Amino acid sequence: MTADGEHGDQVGGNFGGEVGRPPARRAGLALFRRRYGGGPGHLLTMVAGLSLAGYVISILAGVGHPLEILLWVAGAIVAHDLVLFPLYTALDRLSHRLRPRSGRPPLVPLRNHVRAPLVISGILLLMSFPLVFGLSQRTYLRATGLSTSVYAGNFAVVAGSLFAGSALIYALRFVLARRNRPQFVADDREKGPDDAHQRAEG
Amino acid sequence: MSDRPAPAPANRLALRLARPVALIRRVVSGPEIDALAAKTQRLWRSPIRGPWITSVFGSLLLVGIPIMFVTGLLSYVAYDPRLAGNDNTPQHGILGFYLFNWVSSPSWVYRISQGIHVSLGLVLLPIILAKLWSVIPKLFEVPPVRSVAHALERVSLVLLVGGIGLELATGIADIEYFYPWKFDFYDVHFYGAWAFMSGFLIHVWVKFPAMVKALRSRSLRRELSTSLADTRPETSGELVARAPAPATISRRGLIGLVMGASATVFFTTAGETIRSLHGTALLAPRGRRKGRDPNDFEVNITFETSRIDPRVTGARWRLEVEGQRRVKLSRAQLLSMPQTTAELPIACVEGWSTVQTWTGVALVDLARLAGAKVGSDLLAVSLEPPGSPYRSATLAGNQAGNPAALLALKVNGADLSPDHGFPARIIVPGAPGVHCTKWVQQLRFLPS
Repeated sequence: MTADGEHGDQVGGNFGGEVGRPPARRAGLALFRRRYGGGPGHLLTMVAGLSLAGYVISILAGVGHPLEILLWVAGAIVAHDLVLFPLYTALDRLSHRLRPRSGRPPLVPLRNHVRAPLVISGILLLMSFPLVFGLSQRTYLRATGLSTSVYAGNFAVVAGSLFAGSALIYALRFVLARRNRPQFVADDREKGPDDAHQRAEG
Repeated sequence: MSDRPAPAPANRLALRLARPVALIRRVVSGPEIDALAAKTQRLWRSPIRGPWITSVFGSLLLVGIPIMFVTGLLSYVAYDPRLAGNDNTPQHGILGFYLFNWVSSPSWVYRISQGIHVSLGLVLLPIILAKLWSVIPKLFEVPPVRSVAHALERVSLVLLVGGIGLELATGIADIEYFYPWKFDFYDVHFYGAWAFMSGFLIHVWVKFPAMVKALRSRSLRRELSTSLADTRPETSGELVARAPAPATISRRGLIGLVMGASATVFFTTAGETIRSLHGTALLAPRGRRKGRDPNDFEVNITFETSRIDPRVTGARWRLEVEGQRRVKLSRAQLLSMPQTTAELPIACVEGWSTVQTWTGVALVDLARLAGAKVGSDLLAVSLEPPGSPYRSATLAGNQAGNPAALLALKVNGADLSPDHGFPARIIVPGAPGVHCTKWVQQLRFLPS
C-alpha cells in the first residue's frame, strides 16, 4: 500500500469511488470513509471474509484439543517475526565481520557467497529437521520399515554441496575479475596486497 | 473535528464502529507516540525492502496458494468422504459443498494432484519466508490501530499469518511422520486451510491494487540487470526504510536466492514422486528402497505395525466376498481365477507415489461371482484388529467397477510381501493409497 503513508487513515484498495455520484451520497460516503477508514466495499470484504473465518473457527472449537490448536496458531503467528527473524538477523549481523577491514573494496565481495548457502541450508533444515534429528524415528519406522538415520548424513551432503558450489562460483568470479582488470593484477604483483586482502576476508 | 453537522441516520453505524478506535487513537496519539513511531521506523534498515519486492513475492504466492487450496480440496474429494467411514472431517458442514464423485481414470490423477500439493507446498516455503521478511515492519506499526478498517485488516492478518504457519507446520510435519501434538492432523489441516483462505481472500481483495501499482513502479527486467553497486532504495511506500543502510545484496540477488532455495527444495524432495529426480531426493521423506527385489518399494504401515497375527494370513486364510450371495475363497482358488495385470500407482496423501505392476483378480470379476451389480460401492475390510485407523475403506462404484481395479495377489511377478498386504490387497486406479486396503479379509459389495 503505497498510498497509506500519504493518506493517513485510508486503507485498502480503490473501493467506493466517489466520482460521478450525487452530492448527498458523496457527502455520506466521505463521512463513512472518514469514520470507518475505508470504502463500503472494504467493509463488505471484511465482513464476508471474517464471517467465513468465524464459521470455520466455530467448527474447529468443537473438534477436540481446541486449546492446543489455539496454541499452535499463536506459535505460527510469532514463529517468523519473533523467533526466526531475530535469529537470522543476528546471524547476518555477524556476517558483517566478513567485510575486509582494509579500505580497498574486495575484488569480489565474499559475503553473499557465505550468505546464500547458509540461507538455503537453513531453510532446508527448517523443512526437514524432524528427519535430520531423528525426532520422528519411531512413527517413521512403524510406517516405512526404514530408519531416519540416513537424513543427518544426507543433509550434510546437501549443505556441503551448496557451500562447495558457492565457493566454486566465488573462485570463478575471482579469476574472471582479475583477468578483466589487468591493471589491478599488475598492481598486486608489485605490492602483494592480494594476500592481505584474502586474510581480511577469510 | 468539532464543527461537523450531525450525521444522517445511515451513518450512525459507521460512527458507532468508529468510537472504540477514536478512543484508542486519543490514547495513542501525541508527540511521544509520533517520536516512538519515528524511532520504530528507523529500526528497519534494509534498502531493498519495499512495496516492489513484497509484490514480487506476493504475486508468486498469488499463483501458488490457489493451486495449493484447489489440490487440497481435490484430495478431500478423492477420499470420497460421502461414503461410509471415509470422512476424516465429518463436521465439515457447508465446507463440503463442492464434493463430487472422485474419478478413477486416468490412473495417475491423484498421483499428479497430490504430488503437486506436497511438492509445491515445500517449494513455496522459501517464498513465504521471504514475503514474511519483506513485510515485518508492518507488525510493529505505530500506532497499532489507525481506524476501524485498519483494525479489521489486522484481524484478517492473524488468519493469514497464523493460517499459513499452521498449514506449513502441520503439512510438513505430517509428511515426515512427526506428530508433536495431540489434535487430529486432518481436522487442523482442513479447517486451518479454510480459516487461512478467508484471510487470504481478504488480503488479496484489499491489497491487489497496491500490488499491481507496486509491480508497475519498477521494471522487473531492469531489476534483474541491476548490480549490487547500483542498488538503491525504492522511492516511496510504507515498507521503505526511513534510514536505509548501504545495500549488501541486490534485488536480483535476493530474488535469485529465494528462487535458488525453492529450486534446491524441489530437487531434494520431488524425487519421491518424480522418478527422474530420484537421485537427488536426499531430503524426501519417502522414495527410499530397501533393495532390488520385486517387493522392495515404499511401504506404508508395515506388517509388524498392523498387529495382525501371522497365523491368520497363512493357509487358513479365506477371502469372504459378499453380494447377493456370500462366497469364500482360498488364495489358491483366487489364483486359479482369470488373472488381470495392471500398471498402477500407489499415490499417498503425503505426496509420494510409486508405480508397480500388479497382478490379481479384477474386482468386477469378484462382483459377478458374488452376484453383485458391477458398479456397486465396495467396502473392503482388512485383517487388522478393530480400531485400527486403516482397517477398512469404501470404494465408490466407479472405482470398484473400473476393469483395472484389482484384488492384487502379486506384484512385479512375485507374491505380495507381508508388508505390501499378503495374502491380498486392493489396488485401484486414481484413488489415494490409503484406500488400497492391505491384508484384505472381506469384500462387501453394497446394494445401491
